[in-house]
Amino acid sequence: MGELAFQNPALVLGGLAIAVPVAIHLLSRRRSRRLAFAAVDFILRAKKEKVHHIKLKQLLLLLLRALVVLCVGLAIARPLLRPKAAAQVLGNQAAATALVLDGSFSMRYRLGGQTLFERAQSDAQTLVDKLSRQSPATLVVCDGRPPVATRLDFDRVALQHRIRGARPTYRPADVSACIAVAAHALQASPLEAKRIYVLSDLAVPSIHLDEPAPMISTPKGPVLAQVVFIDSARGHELPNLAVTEVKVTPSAELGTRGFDVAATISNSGDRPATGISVALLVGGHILTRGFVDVPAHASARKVLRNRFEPGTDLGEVVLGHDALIPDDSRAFVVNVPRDVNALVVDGAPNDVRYRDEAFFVDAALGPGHTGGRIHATFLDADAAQALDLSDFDVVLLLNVATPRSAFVASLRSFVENGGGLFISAGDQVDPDEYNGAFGDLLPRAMHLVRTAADPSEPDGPPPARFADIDVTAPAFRVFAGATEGFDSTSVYKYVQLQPDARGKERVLASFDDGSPAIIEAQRGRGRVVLYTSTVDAGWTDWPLHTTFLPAIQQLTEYLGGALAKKPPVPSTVGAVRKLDLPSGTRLVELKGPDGRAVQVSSSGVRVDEPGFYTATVSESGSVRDAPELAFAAVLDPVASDTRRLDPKELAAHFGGAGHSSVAGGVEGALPKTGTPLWTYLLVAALAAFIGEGVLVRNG
Amino acid sequence: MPATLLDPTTLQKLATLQLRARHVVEGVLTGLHKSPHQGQAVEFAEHKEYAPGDETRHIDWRAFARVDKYYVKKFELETNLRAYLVLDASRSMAYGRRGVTKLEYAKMLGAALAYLLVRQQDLCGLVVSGAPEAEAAAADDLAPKTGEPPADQPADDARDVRLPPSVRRYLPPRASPAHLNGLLGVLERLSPEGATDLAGTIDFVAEKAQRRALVLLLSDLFDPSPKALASLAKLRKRRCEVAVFHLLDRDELDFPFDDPTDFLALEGASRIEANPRSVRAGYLAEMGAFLKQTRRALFDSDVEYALTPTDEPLDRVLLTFLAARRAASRAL
Repeated sequence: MGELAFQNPALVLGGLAIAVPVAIHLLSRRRSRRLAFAAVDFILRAKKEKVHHIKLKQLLLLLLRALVVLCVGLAIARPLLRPKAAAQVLGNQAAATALVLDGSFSMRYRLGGQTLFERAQSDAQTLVDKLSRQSPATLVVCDGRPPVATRLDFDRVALQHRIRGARPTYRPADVSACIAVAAHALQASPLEAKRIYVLSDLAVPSIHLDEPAPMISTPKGPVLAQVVFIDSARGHELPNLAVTEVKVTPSAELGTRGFDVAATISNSGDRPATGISVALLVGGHILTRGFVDVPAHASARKVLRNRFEPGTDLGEVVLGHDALIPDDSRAFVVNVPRDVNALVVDGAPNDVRYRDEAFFVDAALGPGHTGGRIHATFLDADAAQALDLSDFDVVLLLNVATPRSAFVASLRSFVENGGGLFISAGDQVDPDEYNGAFGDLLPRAMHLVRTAADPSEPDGPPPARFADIDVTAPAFRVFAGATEGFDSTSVYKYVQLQPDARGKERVLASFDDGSPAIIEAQRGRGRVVLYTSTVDAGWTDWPLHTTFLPAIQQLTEYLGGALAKKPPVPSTVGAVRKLDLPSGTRLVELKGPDGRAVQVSSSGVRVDEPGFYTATVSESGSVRDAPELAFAAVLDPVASDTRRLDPKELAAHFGGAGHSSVAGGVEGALPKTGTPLWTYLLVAALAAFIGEGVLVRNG
Repeated sequence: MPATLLDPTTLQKLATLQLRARHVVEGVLTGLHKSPHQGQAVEFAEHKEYAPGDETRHIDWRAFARVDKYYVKKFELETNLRAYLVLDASRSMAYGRRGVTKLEYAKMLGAALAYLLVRQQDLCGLVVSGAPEAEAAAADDLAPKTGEPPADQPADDARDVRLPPSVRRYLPPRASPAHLNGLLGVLERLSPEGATDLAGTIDFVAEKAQRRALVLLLSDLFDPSPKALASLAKLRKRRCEVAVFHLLDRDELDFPFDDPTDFLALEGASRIEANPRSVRAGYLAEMGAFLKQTRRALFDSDVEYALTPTDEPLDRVLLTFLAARRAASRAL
């Protein structure tokens, strides 16, 4: 039940104007002249019922005229019907006031031609204008960063300036924490009355009803803070569709360069969304499109498949735009390995195919196993040494006798310019000659050939086995958690290497006696991998095991610089991303989604907006794009949750009537506000006036 | 003669007209009575038991033969015309918002008619209708028991007449100038009183009037009793000439009011507060029906009827009346 109040109480006396029509009525009655008339019976017979009508009509006219005057008189006094509870909470006396301005992502929701944040901003400015001069005020902008309250003072200009300067972020916000900070800030005021106005969309993720309501310390002890929520959404529901997750995985169906892009679409609305268009864009072009139905308050998954171009692709999954546009798309980055041209130098060719040194390598690099990404050229040593290596990405020397020095020089140049070199041992390889010919190009100098076992003597010493596989190495990352395929491998003979003098090479795999089996070293811009046994079945049975083919493939792609990489993990907006610059490079610039440079600190870059971030680096004095550093920034899915809290539940959590209320606007939260009655009064006056006119016209 | 009642100009016009008529035809005034013959006539009136002193030649011997008693025939002297002015002086006749009231108009019209009648040697009597205080009126109207009658009071047969409650004054027909003066004096002092009871008045006239008498009724006919018209018809059946001057004020005919008005009935306690604009149509319909019904009833009874608004010039009313009478006499 509310109470009646008047904005212009003095003008209530205008209601006394009701005496005017009454007086006119009485005077007109008095002036109704009397006439002695002979033919009164004829009047009586003429319209006997008219007499009653006239009396009734006159009474009705009096009432209508009185109603017109009364309604207009009272309307001038601007009466309001104000809830008692609100009046109690929002009294007009001086009170320390805190404004909590919700700047979370969901406040970007566009409703009625403006965003909720713009509306909240306007509400806050109006609120500040209407605060009594004796009320100190502070502002807490709640934008996902640690909340900070401005100084509690009377500087309205500064406060308005801060409100105007506030901007919504792309992050969810903890409004509950902001309210607590505001409550803490109000404790500094000696005023007894303390109020917190929260200008928010009342989104579910923003306010935690499972936490206790904030208390304010007073000399009488802690009391509940008086919290008034001003609903920026004005009571409207905020239906929203958002792409909350995108996962990019190689597609088993599309094969090489084919990827499954799985998008999760969430629906925050009360109604199911049907036939929602989901498009996959790369470089601004739609590559494929699908449709999905999303139940109310639920999510649905849509997989879009596409074959990508080699290189770093910046893609997006895009929905049709709704009122909250930024979460209608979600960016991702996918690195598509390029093709590899490999020169396979067969050091021990054989007419019997399976005895050929390159037999198993041929099987590993064939199109049937690589999807055609590796283009292998098989040559014997003589033929290979006459080739120009610039056409290749990687050279595999399989049990090749010590090459000529010119070829070695070519290989050295090839490696230092970024090429990859794979060397496998065998009976054609003489360690000493190799050491002399390749020198420091080898990861480590060869020592001698060790025979671990004789396969013809089952009772002899056991063969060597792979004992330690470095699955952290890029080439062997695919074997993470699946190294058992190496365990049963038998190696009967292998080349022992000399101890490491520089310690810069990396052992990818070693035998159970500790000798390196596969060792890698960086040489210039390229890499060299030395395998100390054979790639045929001469010294080992490894080629017969399942791990051989993928190992050769991975090593070839790795050395060719085309090893498939995991998609870079996107950064969530608000997080700090550390950039892993390639060695020998220096970051020149990092551009954000809007194309402007983003400041990068030593700790990384703070990601504030969703979208793509691309980098340029300086390397060897030249500047180049660094697609390997590109990454996508995505929204926190929580930020897209626009479900709204029940105002009653919200008010109850903060103490209920007398402590908290939820208003649909500033007018509803202001002390003098209530339900304005003057409009109804004027409408009633107009209706009475029209009715009076009709009566007079008919009378 | 009160100058207020008889406008000399009007009388001059009428006199001139009468003189001119008497010379042109056998007499305009023949239209006022049945017999064109002037002079006296003897006509049996009633029997009276013989008393000593009565002339024996008037003994009705036939009656003596039947009832074995002496009865003396009584005869009345028949003049050229015996006319009765029946004037409604009830309170309803007091209405007159502009100009004269209906009663004043009736008094002037009645005086003019009386003057005209007496001037041509016709007998003219007066019956005033409307006497609520019946006993007082009756006592007042009875002839004085002793002494000389006042100048306006006939001293003859009116003494023995006991008036009914509906009749306030009665003057028997006479033709003398003194009688005319008395009659005009009575008219001069008349004021509107009492309720209308035309039926009773006309019945009284019927009782008094002889055959071929002329009865001139001046009234607004606002009689709540429906017997008045029947009484007139009955009077006409007694071979009396009856003419009705239906006096109505222009307000009563046109109902020209606009402002809300509290109408008070002149007779009775009826009262109505009404917006005239809203009731005008109904009123006029009711009034039209009343006039139509009255005219039709009187026409059926062969009673001459003249609707006479009180703003109508008297001479025009009289001339119209006389013209109608002359036309009627020609038709005979």
